[in-house]
Amino acid sequence: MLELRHDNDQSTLRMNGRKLLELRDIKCQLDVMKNTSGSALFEIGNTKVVAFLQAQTLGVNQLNRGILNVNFFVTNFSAIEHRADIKKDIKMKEFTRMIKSVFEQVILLDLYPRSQLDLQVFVLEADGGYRSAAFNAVSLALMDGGIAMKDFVVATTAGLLGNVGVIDLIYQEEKKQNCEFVLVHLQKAQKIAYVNLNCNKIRLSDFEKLMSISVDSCDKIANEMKTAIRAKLVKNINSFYFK
Amino acid sequence: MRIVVPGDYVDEGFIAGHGTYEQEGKIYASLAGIVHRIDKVICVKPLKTSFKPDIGDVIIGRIVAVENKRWTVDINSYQHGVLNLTNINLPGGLQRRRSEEDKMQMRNYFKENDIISGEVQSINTHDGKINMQTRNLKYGKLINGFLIKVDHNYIRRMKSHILEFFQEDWQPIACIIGTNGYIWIYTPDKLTQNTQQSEVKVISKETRVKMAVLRNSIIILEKVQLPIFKDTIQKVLDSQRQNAIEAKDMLKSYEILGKEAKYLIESEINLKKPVNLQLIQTDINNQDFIMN
Repeated sequence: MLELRHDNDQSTLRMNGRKLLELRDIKCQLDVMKNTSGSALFEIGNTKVVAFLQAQTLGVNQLNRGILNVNFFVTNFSAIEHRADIKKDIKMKEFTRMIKSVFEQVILLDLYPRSQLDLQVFVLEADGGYRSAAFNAVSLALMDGGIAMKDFVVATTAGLLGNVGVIDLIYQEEKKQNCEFVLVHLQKAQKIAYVNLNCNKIRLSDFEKLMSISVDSCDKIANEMKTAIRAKLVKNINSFYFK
Repeated sequence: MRIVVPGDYVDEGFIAGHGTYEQEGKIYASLAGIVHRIDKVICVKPLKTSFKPDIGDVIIGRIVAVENKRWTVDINSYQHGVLNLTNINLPGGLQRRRSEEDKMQMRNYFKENDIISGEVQSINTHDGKINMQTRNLKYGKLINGFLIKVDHNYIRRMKSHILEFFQEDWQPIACIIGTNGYIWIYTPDKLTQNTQQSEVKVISKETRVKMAVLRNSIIILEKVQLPIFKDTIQKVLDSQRQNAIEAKDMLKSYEILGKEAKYLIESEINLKKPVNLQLIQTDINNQDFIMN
């Protein structure tokens, strides 16, 4: 790794040859799985997350609104070390609940009475930032499935290398740094839906720095995602005319 | 024509229709799709939608569960359909009250994983519950065939949903096109007009190949994004015969086979097309493409 000599020197290169605020290559694929209501594959660098939605369940009698269920799972072949058995630890459960609570705010569940939306999220390859990738994959899968949402959800990871704020960390960087930062941004409302900061001590100025750089990178990721959706719609545009 | 994603600003001063929501007097999109305006109502049409049944739709479903006096059926919709014991055609065609005995032997009529065809009888306006009925000799349990699933957007409501092909042959092949995107391909009896068949037949290899040809031509139509109805299917079958392409090679050369059917409805597409598609396709790579 090249040394980070100066604070905020934008030309400094990181471990895999990126600039401080440069994202890895993003690839979004919609409709990757058959026999689901909606599915999406979100890739950022080597991190791969697939999300799919099953929405045609017989309704639950209670309530006049739909119910959202999330199942988040990190496959045991995803990391560098193959783990034979991954238990669902508290951290994972908490994150699952986080996905649920963010998307419960955003999805217009009133429109789906007596129904149940089952979301399955699988991390196929984890090379840093799989949490934010999971949010993006879910967001794409819901859009692919035609579930009504108030807002466009995007997420990103950021961190501190020494004193310098960087975005979209890879696995080695995540190990080296001293804080873990996930931010979920709502594009229309320009609001932050969820922030997760995992560290011992952090300066307030550093925290503000992290916030601002990750909001900026959220916009970039959102653009990539929108392009993927637009391409998909244009490709299948003929189907609009037969209804 | 505009493409929007959830949260995008759509318009002002209209009535917010499907796929949109109103906030502070402005209309925003809640789905990813194209903006569609009918008079004063503005709505967003998504690419994929769950099937919304209407009363009288012919649908094909798979029995999911046998419950008290009713079956639940997977019909590719927002909910499972419900088929009450009172809404089926009892064997013998008798009109009588359903007794306790009928309730006991519900599995003799339909059991789990059976595929049935039926009609939508009613839809509850309150909770959207879909009631089905099979009170007709046309409907009932389906055997001697196979099911294929296509996008329901490509299927229209037609006069007759039971189509017959290869009629000049000694064994015609028929298909029931469910409005919900499920299609059943089977070998009908020439003598009786009933779709319901009582016993499992031995189907020869020749017939199986013909069934595969029909199946592949429906898949091709979905692949080239054309509506699935009698004329388009016949066009694909004709061009398959002309080009002498075998059943197993059909999907590889789907573009050639779909060409004829495309000509058939090209005029129809052009009528509905609001703008030049080529223009949008070039715009997609352009960064200045305006979303909002």
